[in-house]
Amino acid sequence: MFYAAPAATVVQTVSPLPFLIVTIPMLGAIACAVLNRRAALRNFFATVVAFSVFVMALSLYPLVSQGTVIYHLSAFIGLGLFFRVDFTGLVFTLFVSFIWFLVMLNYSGFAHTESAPTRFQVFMLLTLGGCLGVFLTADFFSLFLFFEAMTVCSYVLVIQDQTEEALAAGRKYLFMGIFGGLCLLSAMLVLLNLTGSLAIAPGLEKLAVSGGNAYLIALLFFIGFGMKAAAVPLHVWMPRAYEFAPCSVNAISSAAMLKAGAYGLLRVCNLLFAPADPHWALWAFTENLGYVVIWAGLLTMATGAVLALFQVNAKRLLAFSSISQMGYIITGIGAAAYLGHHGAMGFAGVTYHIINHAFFKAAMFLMIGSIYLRTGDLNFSRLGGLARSFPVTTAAFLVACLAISGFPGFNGYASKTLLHHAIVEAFEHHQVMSLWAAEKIFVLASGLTFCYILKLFTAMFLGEPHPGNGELAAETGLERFVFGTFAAVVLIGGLFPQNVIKHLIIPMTVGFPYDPYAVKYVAKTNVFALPDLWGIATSLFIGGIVYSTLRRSDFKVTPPNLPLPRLVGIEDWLYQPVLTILLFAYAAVGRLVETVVEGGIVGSIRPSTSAAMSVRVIERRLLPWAGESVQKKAARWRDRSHNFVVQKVKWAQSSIRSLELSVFTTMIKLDYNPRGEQLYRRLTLMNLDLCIFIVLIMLVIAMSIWLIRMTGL
Amino acid sequence: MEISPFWSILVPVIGAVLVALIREEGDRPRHAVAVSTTIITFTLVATAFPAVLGGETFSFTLFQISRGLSIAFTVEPLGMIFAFLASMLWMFAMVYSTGYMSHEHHRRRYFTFYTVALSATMGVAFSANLFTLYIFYEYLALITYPLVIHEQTEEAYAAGTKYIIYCFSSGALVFLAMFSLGGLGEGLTFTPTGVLLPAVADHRLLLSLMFFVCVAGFGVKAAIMPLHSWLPSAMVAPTPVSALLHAVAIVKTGVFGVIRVMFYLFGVETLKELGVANVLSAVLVLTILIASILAIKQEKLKSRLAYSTIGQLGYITLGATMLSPLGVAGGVAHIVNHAILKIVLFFCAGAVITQTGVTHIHQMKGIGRRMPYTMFFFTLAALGLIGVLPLAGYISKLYLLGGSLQAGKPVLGFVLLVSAVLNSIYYFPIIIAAYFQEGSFEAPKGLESPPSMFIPTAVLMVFGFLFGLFAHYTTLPIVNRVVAAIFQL
Repeated sequence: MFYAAPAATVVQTVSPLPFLIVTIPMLGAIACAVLNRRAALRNFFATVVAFSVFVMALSLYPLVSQGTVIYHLSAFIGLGLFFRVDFTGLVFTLFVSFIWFLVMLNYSGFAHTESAPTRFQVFMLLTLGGCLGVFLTADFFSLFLFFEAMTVCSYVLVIQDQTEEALAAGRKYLFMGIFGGLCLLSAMLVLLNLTGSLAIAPGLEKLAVSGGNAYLIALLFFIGFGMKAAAVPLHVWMPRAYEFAPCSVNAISSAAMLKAGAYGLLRVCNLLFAPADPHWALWAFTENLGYVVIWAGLLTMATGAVLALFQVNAKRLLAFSSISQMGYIITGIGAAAYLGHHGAMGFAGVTYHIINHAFFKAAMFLMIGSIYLRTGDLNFSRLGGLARSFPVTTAAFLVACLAISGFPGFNGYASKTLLHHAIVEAFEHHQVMSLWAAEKIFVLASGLTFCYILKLFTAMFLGEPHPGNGELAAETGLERFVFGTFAAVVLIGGLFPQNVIKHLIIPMTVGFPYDPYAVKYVAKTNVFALPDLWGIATSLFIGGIVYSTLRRSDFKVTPPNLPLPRLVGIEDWLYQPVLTILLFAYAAVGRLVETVVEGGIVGSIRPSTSAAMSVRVIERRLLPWAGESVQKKAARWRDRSHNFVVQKVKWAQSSIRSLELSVFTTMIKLDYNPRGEQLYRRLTLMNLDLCIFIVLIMLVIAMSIWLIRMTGL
Repeated sequence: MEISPFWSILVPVIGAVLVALIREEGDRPRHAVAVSTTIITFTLVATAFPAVLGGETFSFTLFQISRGLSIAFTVEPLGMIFAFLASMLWMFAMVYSTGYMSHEHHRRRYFTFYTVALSATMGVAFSANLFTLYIFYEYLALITYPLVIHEQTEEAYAAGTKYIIYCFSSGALVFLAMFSLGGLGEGLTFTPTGVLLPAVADHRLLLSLMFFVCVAGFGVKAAIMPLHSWLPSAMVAPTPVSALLHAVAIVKTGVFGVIRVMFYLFGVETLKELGVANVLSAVLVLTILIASILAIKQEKLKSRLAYSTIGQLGYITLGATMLSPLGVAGGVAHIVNHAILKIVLFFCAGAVITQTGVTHIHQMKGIGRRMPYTMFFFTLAALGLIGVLPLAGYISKLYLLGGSLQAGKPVLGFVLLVSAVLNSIYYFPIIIAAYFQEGSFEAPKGLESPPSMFIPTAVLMVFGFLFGLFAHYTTLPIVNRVVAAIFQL
């Protein structure tokens, strides 16, 4: 979906090895989880898996030295997973898997004393798979998948101890890693939108025409990979994560995971943002990008070195040292980009330093890890005089220290010299004065490196043993073997830089659009030339002076109370407040919207509810009162009228009854005489019928009137 | 004519009647009837699936009220996706319910309404026109009310009231739109290209207005941001109800409704002509971001899941508003992926709640020891929703990203990425607390939760894997059919 195969100008071999290299550790992790209870077998198995990955990577060597190895899983869950191994990827895979193997081997020696060793080994293997995948993929999307798998799996490693502090550090690590992933994805989104491809290949021709978007892509990629590569100010996850993670994790983190970030930067700055056609006039863009990256690198380098100087804990010191060393690498990447078509020197310095730093820093972390196992403390105040109990460790540590300080004859010297050459070349390229200053900062930072390393070494191994530590267990054969191996690699890299450059570094440039002449010039460079030796002597001298000034102030055991380190720890005064405010503001807006709308919708029935309530008041209070009073009135009226009517009726009844009675008695009187009697027929008042009686009365009245008329009264 | 899928609307009603007839104590027969009802329904839907995938559509008019107003059903790809998904998940949720509800009260009422709600959902899925859709939409709101207030506490009643107010207001809006648009397009029958294009010239303003009215109507249930707050409150319901209705069925009817209206009523051309989708996109962007941030602030497990749902529903609708084939495909595929993963999350939350009584995230420290597998499923599902390969979820997000590019709006893609980060910020602390922090939980004796709860969770999680790993053989073929129909590809 995201990868269009480039025109096959180089030999391409199809081989499933890259796919196996990433899947075998993952399958091995599952097997490790199954072997949970059987500690010895599990330790052995985990180590063997790591080793077999290294062997497989090694077996890629003959194929890759002829061209590239590709493997396409087009059907992979609908996306396609594309592997493409060039020499650069192979070299990264080789040293990472080798160091990983040594770390696993070392861990198996003391796994039984650790809590949750199974989980540790399982996630070590998973992280290994993710990390190697980064180096073997052909497009940014596949790279991103492995990159994120690495971040998430390594989170579990960081919080291995499960203390509150470790969890807090892990949370920061995880979320910053995810944020970095977000930036990467966004960069890819824009990239895909602009160019239609995510292939890890020169793409500046398409990008340059897009104007500002190309810078946006560069910025997002830089944040994404720089987060992992601990570029200041994106490094804030690192000191705490390193302080609370086990030393084995720090070892692989410094050796491999930081390098995955650097690898990404390398691929972006020096490949993606390079034109495919070397004579194209687009290099100016790469140059601008490189200039910015150089300064980001110098900032990282200086900040890390200064902060390392003030640490009183071996782990924290090495953490800041790693930041500083990543600064060298980022500066080199910038210089290579700045030099554009002629950037082979920067490229060589970067790749060489990546490998060197991986070995000596991993060795240092493993060694302080084994000391921590015995003392339970890595504060300088509780250490000292360890050289007597740990002769081999001390020797190996010394080798690593000399390497990181850049003593001639140790690998750090060779790569730093190449980087120095690159900076000087960058300055000479356009004679920009700021890059002249950059060179000075570079030298100064190297001096500070020597200074803090001197502090670390003297505080730990020299002087009187701390009385509280008592008799410490002697170093084991396994530890001696592992540390010896590291020291040997460091020495080989330092004593035969010419061979390393010829057989490892120069073939790596094949995948990058560098001028063959510049590449040849790198191959011919002799790092043991007098000016270079003089340069490093200056650095070491500066470091020595700083050290002898500072040692008077007891800076080994007292944490400094200077404003600078706190100011540089931007996490507390910048990230945290900004994040808090943002989160708070967003949440407040959300709550507000929620409340308002909910108020609007649910509240819209409020008026009707209150209307109903008032109606209820009316119903409960007013209506009963009114009803009652009306009822009462009505009842009274009804009663009154009823009484009146009843009275009248009674009166009428009684008067009728009395009339009836009087009539009746009259009739009785009239009818009193028995029938058939003579007397009955006699017309008397007593036996007249009432009617006749009335008729008679009427007649009497009529006749009386008539008589009165007649008489004329 | 093949009408078997239409029986799936009727079968749950019959099943519910049977369930209602069984007395309160008869748990076993009730469970048997309820579960087999869902199985039968699923089978009815599933049998029609191959034919729909093959390109056939069935339709069936129940009766014609008047010209342009009928109750009619149709089986076509989009509805099929929804029906298939809902009936499948209902089956698992019903089995889960039998375990979850075993100690609850009013089981008869619960199972009755739980069963009959399936019928309404099937009705929504198979509706052939807006009128039918509206009827089933309201029917569903009404039926689920007893489920929301199941606990019968003051809080539950308050949530229920809020729920019913929101649902009916949304129904009213849909009704308004239905009558305003009624005369403009062929009885508002859903057709993949939309029916309102001829009306654009004369009724531009009305159409734009009614688009928003309609979207607001369905958007209430799709929990588009200002209209979402019923969803978190409705979490007082028992967990299977939250799981199925509020993460899967109800909210998805809303989303389904929005998609239906957008593409099958208005149509892509009409929307492009009107230019209203951009406004909706902006609203959805805010929905996604704000919901995700509010989710971070939630302390209650279920509330956090609820806000997560709001954000994830935003993805679906956002995919639709991109008006690009990949975006729509991503949105529709996310209906499926989100449903499966979110129901697993809810099932796990329910298992945690019933087995340990833990409801808040700060109480979950070390719970991975007590419920290792449950929390493992939870972790996987959460990772899936964040978009981690190869779990379901990544594929839809990828399509949405592709869609944003296809539509020429990379900003929307960027929002999705930010939201994915926010997702991880609110999911990871739960996982970390469960596995890496010290707590007072002890290892379980025997199975960590009843088999009726454990097995559906496990099976669905396997589905979550398969739908991610084999998306090209599961979700995407039918989704592509939908997209092909909508965009006339």
